[in-house]
Amino acid sequence: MNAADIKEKAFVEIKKIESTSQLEEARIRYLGRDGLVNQLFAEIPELPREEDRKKAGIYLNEIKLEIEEALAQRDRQLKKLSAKELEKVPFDITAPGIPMTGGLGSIHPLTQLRQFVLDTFSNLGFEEVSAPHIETDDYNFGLLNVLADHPARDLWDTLYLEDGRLLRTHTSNMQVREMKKRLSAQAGKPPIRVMTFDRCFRYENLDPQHSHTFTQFEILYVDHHVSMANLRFLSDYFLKRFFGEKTKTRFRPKYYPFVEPGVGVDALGPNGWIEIAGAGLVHPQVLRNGGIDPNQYSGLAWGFGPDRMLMAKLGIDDIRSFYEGDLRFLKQF
Amino acid sequence: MLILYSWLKDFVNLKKPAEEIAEALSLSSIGVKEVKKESGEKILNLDVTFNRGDLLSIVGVARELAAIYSLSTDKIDRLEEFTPSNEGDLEPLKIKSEEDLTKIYTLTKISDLAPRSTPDLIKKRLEAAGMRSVNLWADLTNYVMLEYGQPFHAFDFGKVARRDPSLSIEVRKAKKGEAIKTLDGLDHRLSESDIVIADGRGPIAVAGVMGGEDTEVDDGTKEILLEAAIFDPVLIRQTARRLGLRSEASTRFEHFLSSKNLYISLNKIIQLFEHHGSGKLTNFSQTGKKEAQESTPVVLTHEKLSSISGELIPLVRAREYLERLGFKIMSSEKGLLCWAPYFRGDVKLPEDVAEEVLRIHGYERILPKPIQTEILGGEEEKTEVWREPAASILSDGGFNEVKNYPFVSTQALSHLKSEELLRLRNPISPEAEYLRPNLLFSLLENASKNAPREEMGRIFELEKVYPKKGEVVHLGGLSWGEKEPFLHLKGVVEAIARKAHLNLRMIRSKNEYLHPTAAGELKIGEVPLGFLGILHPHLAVAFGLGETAVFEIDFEKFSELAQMWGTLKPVSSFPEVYEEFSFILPQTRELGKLIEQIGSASEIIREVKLVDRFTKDEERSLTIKVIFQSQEKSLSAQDIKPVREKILSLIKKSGGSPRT
Repeated sequence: MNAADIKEKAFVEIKKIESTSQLEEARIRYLGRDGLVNQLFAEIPELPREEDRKKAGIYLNEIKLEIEEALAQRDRQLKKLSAKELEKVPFDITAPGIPMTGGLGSIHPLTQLRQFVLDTFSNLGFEEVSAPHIETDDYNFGLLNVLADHPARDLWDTLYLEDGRLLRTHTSNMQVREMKKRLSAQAGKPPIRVMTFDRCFRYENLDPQHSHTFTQFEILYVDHHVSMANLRFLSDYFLKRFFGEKTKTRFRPKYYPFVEPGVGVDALGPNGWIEIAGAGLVHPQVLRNGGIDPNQYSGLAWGFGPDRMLMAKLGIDDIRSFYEGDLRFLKQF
Repeated sequence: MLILYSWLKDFVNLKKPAEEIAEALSLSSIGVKEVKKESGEKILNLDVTFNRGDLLSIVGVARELAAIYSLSTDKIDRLEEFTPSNEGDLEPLKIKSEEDLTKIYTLTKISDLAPRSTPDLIKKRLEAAGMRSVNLWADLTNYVMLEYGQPFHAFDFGKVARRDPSLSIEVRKAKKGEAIKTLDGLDHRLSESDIVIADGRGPIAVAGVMGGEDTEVDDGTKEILLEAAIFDPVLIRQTARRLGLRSEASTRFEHFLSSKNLYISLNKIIQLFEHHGSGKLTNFSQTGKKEAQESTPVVLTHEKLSSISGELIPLVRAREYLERLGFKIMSSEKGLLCWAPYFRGDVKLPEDVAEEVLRIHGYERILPKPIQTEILGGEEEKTEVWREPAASILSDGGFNEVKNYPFVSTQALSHLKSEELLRLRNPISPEAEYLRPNLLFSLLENASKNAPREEMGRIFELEKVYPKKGEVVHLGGLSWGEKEPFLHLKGVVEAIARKAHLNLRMIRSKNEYLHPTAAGELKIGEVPLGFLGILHPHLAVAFGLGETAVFEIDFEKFSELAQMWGTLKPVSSFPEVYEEFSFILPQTRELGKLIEQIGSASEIIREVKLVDRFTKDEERSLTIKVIFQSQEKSLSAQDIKPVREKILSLIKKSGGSPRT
């Protein structure tokens, strides 16, 4: 091996060294008393000309210095990579991150909840549907067993259009629409498993607790032998996913003209029971209005107000925050 | 409804504290809003629902609690009805009644009254219910109403007789132009759908709602004409609402009332007038009939009950619950034959009976049962499918999602044509009178409110708008305080289109809300989708904004056209070569068209993209990168040369000057 080869071999080898002991071995192999470089030094006297002997000596000394430097450099690198050294690197991880250029946008909390809710129920085979916001009295009330001048209408203060139609007061206007739609479709008959997450409107003055515009989520399930026990299952399935597996829930009797029995659904919060959802088995008259024989099929409906749900979950005290486009609020989502 | 807890103990032997009673009621019957304490007594605030009118009374609530706790109802069962036949020597009064307005109408005259002050217990119970003590006569009618749920009205007989000595009392619809001054001192013009109690001279009371001032009882009243009736609930409700006179009485009239209860409460009130006012019953008359006791039973089968509950509740158990609630039950081969008690007008179907069973059984005993899923076909609505991707791209692009009310504000209204908008018949306020036809003005208001504290902002909304031709979901975005806002906004809209594998075209067109030149129409093929551009400076000024860019598209149309999968171009295995072309192109010339032309200039051009853009002193310097590649061979200099020539000539032809 000539001097140049030794140098190249040494450089390649040194770069691969992983520990100080390997470093020492390499030093001995190349620069030790009987090392490769010294072996070449030993060959110098055999050169015939004085001039060549001189040149070779200088050259070998340079190589020796270069290898020494490479070893020293690798030694410094190895020290830097050592766990001990890494521990010494100063870095403040608590400093705020650097904002993305242009700033990252945000998705409205109701849209985020919507995605969560729809995903949850689509796991159970519910399909998303929508129904008109501008609705007829029939689909919003009459076909849901809330007849004209029925005192139960007091439950819904309604906004009417000049042409006699109204702004739907709940997402339940989808119920008879879906029953009829599916009956006329190829599929022919139940099961029906649908859900909707959308806006509704009522005659309400705006204040922190009231809004004329609000959101509802609702499921409708019609099949053979749909029972209160199934309702309990679906209700718990969602509430435990949203509030936590250990969440306690309960049903209370509650009156809605389009279900029988009707229940209010409570969840136990830190300050006691709070009403979260309304539900029940679809009233036989509503099934009949949708063209479904209540002697063969039964149905359930379950729904909640996403605005109130988010307010409870996030401690928001003003429902208007959702609808007034204040970026100081929205950018937090 | 507010009730004094201790009052319930007159009828049922309650031992538990009020709070526990409240919990039991809310778990088995009706909501309890709160239990409050006033001068050492507990008051329950009940949320009585429409179907349970029977609970608008102390007796009703006591009976319900007896059923829940399985307590004796002896005290309630022993209450006696007033039976006019026993008072055979009573002189009848003349009453005329139009059919259908009342189920039953009774008048009782009590004479020889001696005025006294109302006993403290009665006063206390009225006040707890939120009712003011007026005088003994009025207080007694209110007291019995609270206790039994049957409203009464007391006329001063002397005053009635002075008005019309013939005493021809009539229950009828009001006549056109009739008016009455009610107890509260207000004059009301009556409509022809109102039920009135009238004598020969006109109305003396608005039936079920409020009496007239000139026949009002007072401390000097010696003879009382006491009315107990059951009116048509729908008409009472309409009148009370129209006149703005909803009261404890009218509320009860809107619910189901039973004639048996009317006679029980009549019996009680006569006793009270005799006892506290030393009065004497002298006359009684009635029209209408007592409803039949026995109706057809509702049949509850075991199958129905278990199908509704999802649990096995033995019929014997169901029977016990129902009997506690006052139902008469007979077992038959078909199941239970159930007769609802007289005070329950709401139980008509097997489902209704099943609910009664379940709530006494306890909903907490119904255990969750998974649904039997059957896989359903069907396609998701396209608009719903594309919501999430569009919102994600916008938010990744720095846009914040807003949600706005569906109305046009008064400020926005001045820029819109109100005759083209849908208007509400009963608007809450001028700010919520018209339905918005687009998102633009909602977004402008958001920007206008936020701009003073946010020098730059990007917002979007994905919601319904309500133009006259029909409601539709729109997607709109807006940015303010940004450099080159048009191109930035266009970039984001292009990204959404790309996600849906759609080729978005921008066509020059005028829009009154937008800048005359820096705006245009967005199209997919020939289908117009919406607009994008710089907001018209006049509108920007009106909303206190600087340069603002906006877009708005019909999101339903977009979703209809959108493709989940695009058409793939095969990846060529031959090397690609690229070349850059720098040139100056005035803003008046269309770069978009030029890029399109270059792109289709030759088979070997795979892609054309803008890589640099620089504008100084109105002069627009551009660099495009053209990638050449063939599917068939490696390209040589000879292959590229003619294409390069063609590109340069296209640049020149479109008004560009190439730079070297």
